[in-house]
Amino acid sequence: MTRRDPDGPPSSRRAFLTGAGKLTALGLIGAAARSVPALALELPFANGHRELATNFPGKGPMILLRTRPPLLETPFEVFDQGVFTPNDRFYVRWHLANIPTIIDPAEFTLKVRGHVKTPLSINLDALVRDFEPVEIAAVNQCSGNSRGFFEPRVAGGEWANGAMGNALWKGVRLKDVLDRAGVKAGAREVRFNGLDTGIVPGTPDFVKSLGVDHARDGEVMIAYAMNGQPLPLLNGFPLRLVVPGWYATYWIKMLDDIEVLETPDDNFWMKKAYLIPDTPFANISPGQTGVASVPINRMVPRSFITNLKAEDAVKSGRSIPVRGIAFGGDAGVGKVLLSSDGGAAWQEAKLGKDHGTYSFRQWETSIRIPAVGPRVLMVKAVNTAGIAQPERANWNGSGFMRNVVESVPVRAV
Amino acid sequence: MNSASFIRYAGTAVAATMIGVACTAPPTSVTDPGRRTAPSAAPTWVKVSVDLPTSGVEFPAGQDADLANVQCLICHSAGMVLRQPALTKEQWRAEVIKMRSAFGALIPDGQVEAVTDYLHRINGR
Repeated sequence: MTRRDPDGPPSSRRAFLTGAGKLTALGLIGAAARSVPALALELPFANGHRELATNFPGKGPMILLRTRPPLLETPFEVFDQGVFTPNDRFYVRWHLANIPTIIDPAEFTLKVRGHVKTPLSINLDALVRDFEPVEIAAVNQCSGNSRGFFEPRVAGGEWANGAMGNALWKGVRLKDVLDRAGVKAGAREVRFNGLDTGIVPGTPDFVKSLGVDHARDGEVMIAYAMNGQPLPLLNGFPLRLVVPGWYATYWIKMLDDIEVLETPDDNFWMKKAYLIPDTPFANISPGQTGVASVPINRMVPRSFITNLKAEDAVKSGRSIPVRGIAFGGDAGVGKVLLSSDGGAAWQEAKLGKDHGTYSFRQWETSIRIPAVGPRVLMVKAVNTAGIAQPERANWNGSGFMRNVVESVPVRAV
Repeated sequence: MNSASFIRYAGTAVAATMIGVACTAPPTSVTDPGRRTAPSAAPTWVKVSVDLPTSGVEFPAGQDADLANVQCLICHSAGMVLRQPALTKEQWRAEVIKMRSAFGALIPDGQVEAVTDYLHRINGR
């Protein structure tokens, strides 16, 4: 990552920037790391004023949504810097405020229990030594990523588009661990718990479950490394469940307990929270009732322009490079289409290296805007299953699964 | 196509993410997993100890701000509340009731309306 002008002029340290992701000057970010607090920005929706936090362990400058328990958003310009999101810029989302701050790997164990032949208690050395290591590149995206753009607005974590990240995860297959314990006939679901707990006794512990066949599909993994390093504590050190293609609510952090269930899990976090309308793209009309709901599950495709932002000026009559990232959700990226005229005509972008079905995929193309004036750039991904991003934004009362075609208005000059 | 034209970031950026833990594996390029040398290289586990920042932010002064400060800040800092869009009184009431019924907040019956009214006053529509 190149940091331009790392010192920056002193006046920039107090600069207030406006507009979507206008923290493009990495020099400013470099300055922020040494002068706390330094910067703030305006996300492009009402009440979108945010400070950049630089005082979270293992983290560089992050958009502060909540201090305790932490909600930290990745500044959007990070997504222009590479196909993998650096660990120190990877977004952070905790539900419950009792988060262990001291973890001694020598004492940490992962339990496997419930409807199994042999309950297990595995220490970290044994987990690494006794199971085949696997790697997968996969996008981790909060169910409510981009909630702040919902219209009408909905309550919740008011993220812009930075509650997502892509990492190369390394660990062991959940299937292999479950097979070691021996799942008994009749198992229905597998429930995952981490070390975090609530503050008051009435807060339901944050646990999530997967169907037993999903848990044993050979793709779901228990990760002990992220981009070649141990996970930052705030991203789940020492172990995190990785559920490729599914929303991050299932990717339990600080995973220390796996319970095989004979009956469907009826805990709060599966039956009351993280539910979506059982409709395509979880889309309903505001006020619509009587729609069946289901637990949120597979991700849907998204794509973003990363080198241009709203209200940027671009040269008319010249070739303008446009690039970004895309992901297919629960499938690979089939193609990425770009429009430079508000969606009338579309051109196919070149795709970058394929890091696997569940990874970000970089794309690039160039456009030429013949005359001066405002233009709307739009980007649309179609995944390998043929699912395209919708041109009208989906809506639901929880602010989940936004994946509308993104629009970036620019000015040709 | 020429994948070299895509921006890559250096392995050093990844290394900079360490938080007092170390791997025995050599630095690897996350942009080219095929060239990773040792997928079986075992991590060296190091004890992690961090301090998480605390928030000194209180709710804006006003009638019943003390109730919000006492009740809400037990489980979470004020930031996410203060960064909500303007909500109707009914929406704020639903949030307060959710905190009680779903998350075990200890807000007494007699304070639900006062906390609701306070939140609506500071950020209502």
